[in-house]
Amino acid sequence: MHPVVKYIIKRFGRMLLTIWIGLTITFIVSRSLPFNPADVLVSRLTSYALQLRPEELERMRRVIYDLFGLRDPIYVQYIKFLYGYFLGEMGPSFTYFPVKVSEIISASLPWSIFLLMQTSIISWLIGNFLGVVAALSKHRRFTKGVEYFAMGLQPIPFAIFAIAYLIFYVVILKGSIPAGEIMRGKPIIEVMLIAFRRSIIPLTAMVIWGWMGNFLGMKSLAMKLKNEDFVEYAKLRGAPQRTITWYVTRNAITPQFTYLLLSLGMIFTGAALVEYLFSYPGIGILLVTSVLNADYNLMLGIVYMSIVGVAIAAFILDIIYPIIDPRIRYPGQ
Amino acid sequence: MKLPSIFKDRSFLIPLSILLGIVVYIIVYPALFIRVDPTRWYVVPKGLPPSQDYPFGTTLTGQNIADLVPIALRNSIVIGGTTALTSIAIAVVLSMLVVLVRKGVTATMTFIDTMCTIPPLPVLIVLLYGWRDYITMPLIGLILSIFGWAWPSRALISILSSLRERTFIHTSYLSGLPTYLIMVKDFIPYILRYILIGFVNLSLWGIGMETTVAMFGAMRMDIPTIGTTLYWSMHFQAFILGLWWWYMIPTLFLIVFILSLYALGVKLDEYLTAGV
Amino acid sequence: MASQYIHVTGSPILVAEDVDGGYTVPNRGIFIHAVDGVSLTLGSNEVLGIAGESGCGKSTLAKIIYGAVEPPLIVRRGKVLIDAGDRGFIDMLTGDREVVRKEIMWKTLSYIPQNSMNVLNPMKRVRDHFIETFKFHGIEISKKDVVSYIREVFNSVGLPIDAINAYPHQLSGGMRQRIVIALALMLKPRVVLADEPTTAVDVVTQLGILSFLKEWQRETRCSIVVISHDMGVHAYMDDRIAIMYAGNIVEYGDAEKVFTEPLHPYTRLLIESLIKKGERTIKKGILGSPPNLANPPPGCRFHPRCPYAMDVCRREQPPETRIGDNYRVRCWLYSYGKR
Repeated sequence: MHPVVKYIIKRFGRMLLTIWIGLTITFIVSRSLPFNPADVLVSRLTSYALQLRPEELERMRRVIYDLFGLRDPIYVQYIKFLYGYFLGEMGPSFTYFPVKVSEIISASLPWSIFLLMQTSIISWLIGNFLGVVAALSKHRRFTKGVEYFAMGLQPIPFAIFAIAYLIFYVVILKGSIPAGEIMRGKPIIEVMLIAFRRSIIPLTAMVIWGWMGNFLGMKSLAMKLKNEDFVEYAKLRGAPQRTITWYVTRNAITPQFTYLLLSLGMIFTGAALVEYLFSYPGIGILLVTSVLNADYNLMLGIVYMSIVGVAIAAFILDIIYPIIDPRIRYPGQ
Repeated sequence: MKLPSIFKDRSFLIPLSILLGIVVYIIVYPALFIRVDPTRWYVVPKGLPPSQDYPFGTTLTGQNIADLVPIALRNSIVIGGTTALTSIAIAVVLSMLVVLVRKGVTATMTFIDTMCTIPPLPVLIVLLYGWRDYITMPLIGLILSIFGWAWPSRALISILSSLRERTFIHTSYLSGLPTYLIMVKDFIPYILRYILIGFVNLSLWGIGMETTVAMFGAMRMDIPTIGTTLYWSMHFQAFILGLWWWYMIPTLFLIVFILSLYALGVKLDEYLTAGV
Repeated sequence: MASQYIHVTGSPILVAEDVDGGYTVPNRGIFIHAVDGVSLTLGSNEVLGIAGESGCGKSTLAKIIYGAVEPPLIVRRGKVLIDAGDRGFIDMLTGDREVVRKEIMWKTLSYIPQNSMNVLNPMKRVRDHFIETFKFHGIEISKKDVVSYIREVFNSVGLPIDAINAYPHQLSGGMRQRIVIALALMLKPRVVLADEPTTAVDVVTQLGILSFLKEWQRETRCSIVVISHDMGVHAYMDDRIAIMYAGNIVEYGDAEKVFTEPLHPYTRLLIESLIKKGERTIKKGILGSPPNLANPPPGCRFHPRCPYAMDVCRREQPPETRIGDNYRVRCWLYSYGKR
């Protein structure tokens, strides 16, 4: 079997594993809460409904328990849970009862994945490019300055920066936050443009912060690489400067790519916050809504779907990997 | 007794003194100066800018910021510290076991990589919101460390794996030293440096996550932390109303604390590895 | 120009003139004086060996000769002149970098580095290494021609043809070494610097490499500088040899003479430590260890270990003494009373 095919199969398996672990975590979380979400639903429904007699209340409670499968022993619950969620059946939302959680999330998830992929790729490209330039540049002082700047800002939590950016944008620049536009029935190019326009502000917020991590990593990696034997050997053979730059870049890209994959989870966290602050129609806002309304089904659905979203994004990036690293295509002895 | 040379370095002394100043503020000041419980709302006149009576101003929820900040900062720091402690402890033990025992390494590494890719925020929100009635600061730290241990484990395993191949470990092993003693005597001196850096980084990560989760409204919002303070200031439109002291002053304190701690960590690390 | 220097077989092709350099350690004001006023001449169609212990400065000298001088390595004075044909003699250290890079390096003067196992780019196939080397020097050549050219070279070095399309990590260390040698010879340079060409391989491969180099030299009449701490290598390869100790050339001349009648005390001890066929005596090592080049001893650098050390040796560095046309020694034993 072609090594690349083997590799893709392995990665696909990884993705499934991630999703399964995600599901298990969701399940454990949902069952470990100190109260019963079903009871919450019941009490909400009763506050909407008319006065119910105790038997009717009891019957409703039983129906809802069945809905959540809460009367079965725990391992049966687990299997049913896995089965249901895997097929996308996450139950009804409390807030928008009886609209299905899966419907609500599937409207928002694509937006989030769109933003996630844009952000991660753009910050990565910018950060790595600047990192190589800095490592190979002769202007020591300037690049050291940039490095200290990035190092100094990095430890500050992204949340602080996000708020600062919001304040800066709204209060100082007096910019506006785009509202939704009709996307149905329009040609795909226009849809993409609308989506892109909407994502610019959250995108800029994340990229302005995001390039620093990549920059610092790439710079230190490139500095190590430029002293590597094969780079010196190329110089000995008479390689011009741009070839050296390319050598260093080419060999640094691989570990940097791995880093990108692993940081997707954290980028997603930042993205959710930014979506919330800037009214971007992704999962971020849904998360806030679900908290405000104690909508556990929605919350759990979001937990699950975010894990799936990130796993899929990681898998997509994984597929690109063999193109970058020839050692996958031709495993050595 | 002669002081180690590091105490003569200004770039070490400055962050150290800032940090000590903050520590004094968050420990001594509340004990001596706070008369009214700063977590209670509507205690002082609302929305006043900094003045003589209220050096940091007051919030729209009627809280005295000068009293609020030390409590909030202290809580945030406790959370960060607990996260760092637990995560590093787990990471250190796990990585040493994996590297020494050698069985199931790939499986563990795959698991760790998977845990790295799982986005922490939604899970943390659900957990913290669900448990908010029973929550304490250290508990928040523990919950955060569910996700905090993955990255350090990864780094430690790669450090320890290459360390393991070095001859002095082989010597210990061949002389019959029990596993746990190899862990303590041979590994720990090498990873002490990483533990220091990791501790600082993880505390900062913990504080960051707490702030983020608080801004989603998922914590127990009447407990002051920097995150909840920011949440309330956002909720009460402090940005638009121009009540800059409400959100800027706590944030400033947080940033100063973070940068001093980080600078201290970097300097200590430099000092400890000076001979290398 | 040629008359100032030692008479060599054929005309001189590479001349190092009072080269002095070393490594600076930043922030500490330490200078490791690895090469101390070295002068050498290399003629055409000959093999010159540079011998010495590890740390005597021979690799540094090789780098300087090749013009691969980058911080922390600095050259304090001296010239390295290479015969660049139509362009006359060019100084590798001060010549126009573009000219040196494109026309001299690899084309006229080439280099086989020490740790050849690790110098290939892990992300590039073997044939790409060759193709890009042609490109670096502005030589237009079609891929087909490159491949057939490589086939030829691989044949003579003893590499299988399939290696052309392989990535370095797919090949063994010995194969990579031979590829590096093939790369060094690909533009048929007039001078080849071979820095420890046999250090990392087994004895059998060693002989293969050395005999190949000797054969190549005989056929193409190029010149080779062999740098090695292994006296056996020098005995096999060299026409002339220079013995280096602590940054100085202490003895320099015809190889056979140096091996049969070594003059400098250090050389004597070196030669005596070699095992000759049929010998039964117990070999002695040389007492002591090489000096710290950051803080070398005053006077002759060898005096702490020299069995013949005299008073003057401890005070002053001995000058270079010419013995006959082709021989030089740096030792007070031969300088007293002589010019």
